[in-house]
Amino acid sequence: MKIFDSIRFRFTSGVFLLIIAITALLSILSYKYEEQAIEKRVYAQLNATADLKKELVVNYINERMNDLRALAAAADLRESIESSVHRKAWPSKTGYYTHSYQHLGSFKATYPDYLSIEVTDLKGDVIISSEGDHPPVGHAHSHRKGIDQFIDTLKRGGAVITQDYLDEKERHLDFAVGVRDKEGDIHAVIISSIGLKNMLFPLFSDYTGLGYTGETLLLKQKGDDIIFINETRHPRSKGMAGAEYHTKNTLGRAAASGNEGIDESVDYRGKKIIAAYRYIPALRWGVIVKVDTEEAFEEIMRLRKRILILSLFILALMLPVVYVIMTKFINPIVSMTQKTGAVASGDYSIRVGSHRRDEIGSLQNNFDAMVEALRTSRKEIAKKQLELEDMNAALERKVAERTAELSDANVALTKAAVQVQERVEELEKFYEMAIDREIRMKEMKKEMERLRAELSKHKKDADGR
Amino acid sequence: MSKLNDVKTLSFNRFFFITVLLCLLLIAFTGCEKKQNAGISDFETHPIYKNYRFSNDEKVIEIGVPTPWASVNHIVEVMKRDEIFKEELRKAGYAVRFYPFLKGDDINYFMKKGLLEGSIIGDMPTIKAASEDVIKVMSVFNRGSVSLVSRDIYRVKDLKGKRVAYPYGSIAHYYLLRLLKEKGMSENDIRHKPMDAPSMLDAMRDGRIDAFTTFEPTATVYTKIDPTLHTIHRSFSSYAFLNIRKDYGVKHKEAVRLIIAAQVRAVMWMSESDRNLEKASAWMAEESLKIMPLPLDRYIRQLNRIVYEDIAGNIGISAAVISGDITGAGGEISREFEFLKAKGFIPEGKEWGEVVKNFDTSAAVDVIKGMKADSARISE
Repeated sequence: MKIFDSIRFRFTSGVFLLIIAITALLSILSYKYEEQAIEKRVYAQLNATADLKKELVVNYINERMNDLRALAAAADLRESIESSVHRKAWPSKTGYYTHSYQHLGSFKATYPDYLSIEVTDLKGDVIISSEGDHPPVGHAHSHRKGIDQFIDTLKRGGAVITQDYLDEKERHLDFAVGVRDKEGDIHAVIISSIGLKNMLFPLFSDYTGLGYTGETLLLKQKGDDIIFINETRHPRSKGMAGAEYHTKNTLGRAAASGNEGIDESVDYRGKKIIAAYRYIPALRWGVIVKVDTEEAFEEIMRLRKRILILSLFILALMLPVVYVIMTKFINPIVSMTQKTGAVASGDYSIRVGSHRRDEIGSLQNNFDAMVEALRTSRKEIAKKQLELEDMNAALERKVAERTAELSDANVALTKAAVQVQERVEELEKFYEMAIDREIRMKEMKKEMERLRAELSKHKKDADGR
Repeated sequence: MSKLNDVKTLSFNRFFFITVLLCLLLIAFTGCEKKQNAGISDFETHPIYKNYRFSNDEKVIEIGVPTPWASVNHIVEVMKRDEIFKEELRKAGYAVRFYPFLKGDDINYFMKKGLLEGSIIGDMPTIKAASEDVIKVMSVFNRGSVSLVSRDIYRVKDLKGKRVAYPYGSIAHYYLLRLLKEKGMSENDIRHKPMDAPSMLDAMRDGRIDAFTTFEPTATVYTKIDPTLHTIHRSFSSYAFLNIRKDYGVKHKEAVRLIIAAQVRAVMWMSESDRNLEKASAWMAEESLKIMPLPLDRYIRQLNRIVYEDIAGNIGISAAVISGDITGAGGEISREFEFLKAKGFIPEGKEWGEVVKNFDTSAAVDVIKGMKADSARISE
């Protein structure tokens, strides 16, 4: 029998294949489930971080704006500003000026991110500055260009933020609100320059939870380009070294143009990233919280390896165990096959002698019983055969005797037959002669009758005449 | 005599045939008319709208507003309480009433019937009404956001093969298709489930849909009511416009001017402080309950956040002005117009060049130039 035709091979390989298939299926299902869970966790974490970072910026901006509003609403400062504004000559040495200057100065000193606080008139000329006479009071501040375009909004009590200095060395935002006089009309503007380096940027250089590659970027759209507002965690590629712009950042563009979501992309280093992006309407900025895909899904790679190793381990453990178990089941069958062969060859002394209590044990016991029954039966048959042979011999003898007797009788009979034959022939001859005589007699009789008839006729004719 | 009778019979038969034919035609036309009337009565017998008693006085300006809708409803609620607005209206002999509606298209119906003088509605119904020459678009009321919400999906590209609900023909519908396109997908990649916003939460809970797109605050509030939901994507790209019925606006320019000024003041007032924003949110939540049983009062913080974001980008008073950027050919609104045309809401022959004439780019500019007061003066 070929090995491939054997039950051992077929059964064992079938069970092996089944176990491999089940292990593979379970591994794939488990991997997919875990992969999904990891992906969801990564997305949720990035989303949560992006929401948090956005919230931080929004709250920070809101707080700074509220600070400025509170400052602009402070009665003593308003009074000082009003007095200063209405003076024809610039009041750099007056008490009002000193009071306002000190007020602004102490406010500025409270927060490390305030670069300067200045009060201007509606034309944009500086009246009071936390920096004293530097820049010179009474002159339009070169940094206040952006305020001019919002002067109508400011005059009506609005608050504005200008962002003309994001690409400057000292990146800062200018917050501005109007200051009301006693009648409630806006007659001056108070402007605070907030440096981003000391307060806002540190919030974004905290990479907690973002691993070795993750970072948070603040971005702004400028024409077709995207400006990086804060420092990037990784050095930029050669082409971008020192540059503020990156035109290919599609997620940055999406975020800075009013979209929020999560997606995969390629960052400024050309690395594949997964990023959650948010939009800050007040500043028209985008926030991107990103991490390299490789790192974000490193766990998935690890999981893949782990599941592969675990599967191989399970198979390595299972296959010998299965082999042993299969052997335990198959061996009795194979042994039975061999013993059946021996029985078929006429060896009825074969016995399995099983102690098993299962179906195979029962089969083996039945086999033994069957072989025993077969052996007994064979014995009986042999005995009967011998008897038959004896009877046969006796019969044959009798037949031979009878045959001899018959043969003698036959010879005698043949002789008698010959004699009988001779007699028969003699009789036949006699008979033929007798018959011949009889025939002649009959013919003679007929002739005689005919003659009688003719005679009679002649008599009648003669009578008639 | 018999011939005459035959002729009479023939005439009678012809007369009878023609009469029957005319009757059938009449019935057919009457049937069509009834069908149309049935459509009309749908709105007029609407459980909410049927209670609205519109004034015949042309000095009473009645404006329809979809509700709930942050931050449009916020601005309207502040306008209602603005003493300056009330005083100016009184001086000019006008009164303004706002009516909450479920959808912009419903408002358009009442505008066309001449029952409403104004509307504050989204881009899509505005474009539809402007295409029919019913309205003149006077100002940008706000710029808001539309969100895509799901439970198990985190990325737009994972929407492939999923059931996504949206209000058909709305900005949320347009936004979804635009988003799919941006992500390299086509509208055939998802299973479409047109649905109105109020049904979406139940549909999501019953497993009838996998994601939905809708306006704020509904999307955010739904994610708060069912915390297993989250926003996949959000876009700050929808507009609300103040529209005035064309025939009315021509005759009552002063009233329109006062409304735009009140709108600007309301935004200023809300942007003045967080406290003001919170008040506006509370008023808005209360007003919304009149039309939709959404417990917005439990989500004031979220409402504040949405409105803060909406108005923070539009803080300059010039935000009310309809600029060329908005209406320009190839711009967002013109693309939305093309979308509506493609979907059969606007006749094929209609061109953007004709429709854009109904967008008044100077009204808000003139109002802002002439405005005296800055922020709303609120009576509570």
